[in-house]
Amino acid sequence: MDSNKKAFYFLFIPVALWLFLLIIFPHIDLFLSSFKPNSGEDTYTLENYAIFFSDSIYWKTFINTTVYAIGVTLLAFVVSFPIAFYLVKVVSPKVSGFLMLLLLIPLWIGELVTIYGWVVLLGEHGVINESLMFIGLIDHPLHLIYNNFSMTIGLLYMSMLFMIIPIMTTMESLDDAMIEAASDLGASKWTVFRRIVIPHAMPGIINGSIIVFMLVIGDYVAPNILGGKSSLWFTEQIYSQFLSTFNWNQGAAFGFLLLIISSVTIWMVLRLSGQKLDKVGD
Amino acid sequence: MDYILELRDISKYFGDFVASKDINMLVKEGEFISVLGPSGCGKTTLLRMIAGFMEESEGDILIKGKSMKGVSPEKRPVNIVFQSLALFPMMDVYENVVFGLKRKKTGKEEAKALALDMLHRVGLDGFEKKKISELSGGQKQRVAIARSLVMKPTILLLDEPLSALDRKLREHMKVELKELQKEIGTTFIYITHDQSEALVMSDRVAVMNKGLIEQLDTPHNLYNNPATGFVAGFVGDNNRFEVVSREGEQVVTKKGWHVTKPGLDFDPTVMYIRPEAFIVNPEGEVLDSEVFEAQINTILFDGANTKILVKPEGRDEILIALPQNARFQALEEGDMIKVAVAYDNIKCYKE
Repeated sequence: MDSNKKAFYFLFIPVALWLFLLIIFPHIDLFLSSFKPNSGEDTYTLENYAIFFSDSIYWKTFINTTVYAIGVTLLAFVVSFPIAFYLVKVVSPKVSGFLMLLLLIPLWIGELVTIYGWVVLLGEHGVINESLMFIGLIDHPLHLIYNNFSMTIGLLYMSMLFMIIPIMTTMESLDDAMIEAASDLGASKWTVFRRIVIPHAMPGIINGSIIVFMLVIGDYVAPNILGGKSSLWFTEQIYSQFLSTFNWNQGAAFGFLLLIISSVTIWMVLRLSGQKLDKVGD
Repeated sequence: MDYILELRDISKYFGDFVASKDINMLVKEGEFISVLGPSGCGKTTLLRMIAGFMEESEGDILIKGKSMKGVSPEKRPVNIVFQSLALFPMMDVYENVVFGLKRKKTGKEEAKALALDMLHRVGLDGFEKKKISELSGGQKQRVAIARSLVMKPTILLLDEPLSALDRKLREHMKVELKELQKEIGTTFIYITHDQSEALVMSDRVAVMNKGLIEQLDTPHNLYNNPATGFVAGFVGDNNRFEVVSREGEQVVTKKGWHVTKPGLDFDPTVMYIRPEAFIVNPEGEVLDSEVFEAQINTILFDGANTKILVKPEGRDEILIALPQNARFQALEEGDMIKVAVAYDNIKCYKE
């Protein structure tokens, strides 16, 4: 019993320290400072939050970012689902392992380098434009970069893997005979997907969506480097509050708003999908 | 005579591996046919070819006289009950049963009536709203069968559907399945490695080995007149003796046992005698039989299946079934007994 307790504390203390010192404590600090004026007076005020609602650039960016992040998440699902299905159900485990390795490579290099890689590809004198001009398909370079298109590609690219892996995990437990049984009972390929494969992979899809949504809404690199003037991301506003205008209290308030919208969205997704999971098969 | 299913010289190759070779089979409407064989004999491949999940390398499959070449599984008038059952866990029992009817665009009311009727037939009244995970093994079995039968298939294919059940339930389901088939009248093709399932349920049994059908016959003939040594050894218990030579009317086993077997016109390599073909201490005179004396080595008591092992001096060990009646109760290990076996029950083959 005693040694059990020792082992418990031995394992619990690092977790507790991590949780309190690196997560809970900074959040409390952030939360408190979001209610303090930038003047440095030791009072509490709602001023920082009032600015968010009064200045339309802030809340518009905020809503844009959220809607866009949801869109990118949906897009990530559409792109990732066939890939996951292909890797698990179509190719042999050996080939699948190799392809997985290829998918992981961008992760090893880090986001910043990967995103700059896209600059090299999409830029005005980038690989794609130069090649298209070389073979004579276009006369002038296409505007592929510094707009919503390039930003979407960047966000998708860095988050897709986190959608693929959870879907693959749930797909692995899908009995092939179930797919065969459905088509034996007269189901078309589309019906098999809609009624059997997707419902089965639902937990993975939800997990993947939550991770991708959080990664995308909280990302700074892709919107900043690949996005244009029109694609302003809320994280960029937090960044400028902290490092350009040095209004940390304002930044803290914005940070908290981002945290709230992420949490609310995820909560809603869980609620909705929870109901959906029960209703699947109607 | 019209056949519901015709297999014409079906062969299937995977590279150099021969999964099925020259399979021919004619099945009449309403028959219960089993395909029996050890694992890896090609029986599942055969089933998958009939269902359309695999394409035959050679030959043709005809259902109701129509060639199935190039017809995809969802368009064939056959349904499968899978080994893993493959019920849809995301749907309840009713939704599982009605799944195929919806795909056929059966009207909602009609589909409901058909599904409920089928659930009634398999004894699952009131189970419509149950989740698959709430069912017992036997109930899942019935849902899988109902889900396929509700489609009114021309042929129902069953891929070892009882293998996941425990022994008692399997015995029970065997009888139930047989009765269900009789009542509904659908042609069943039943794949199994369990000879008892095949013998009990089927009208005819095809014994498969290494991709070939060794014998397609009634259970009775299969047991009593095996066409090949493989069938003799695979179906039912049997004593196997390797034969080295033939001297006139006598065959000589490897261990030197001379057995009289008149009427042989070939040199056998193997001889089979069923344990129950031996008569222990026959009364009166026995005709046309091989008779010998032996000492009881071991008594293997197993209720009605009690057997004795005898080992006549310098000869092969023989397993003999012991009828459970008062005459033999007193037998003990070490006793000398007289044993007779009719020539007809001595089966010789060349392998």
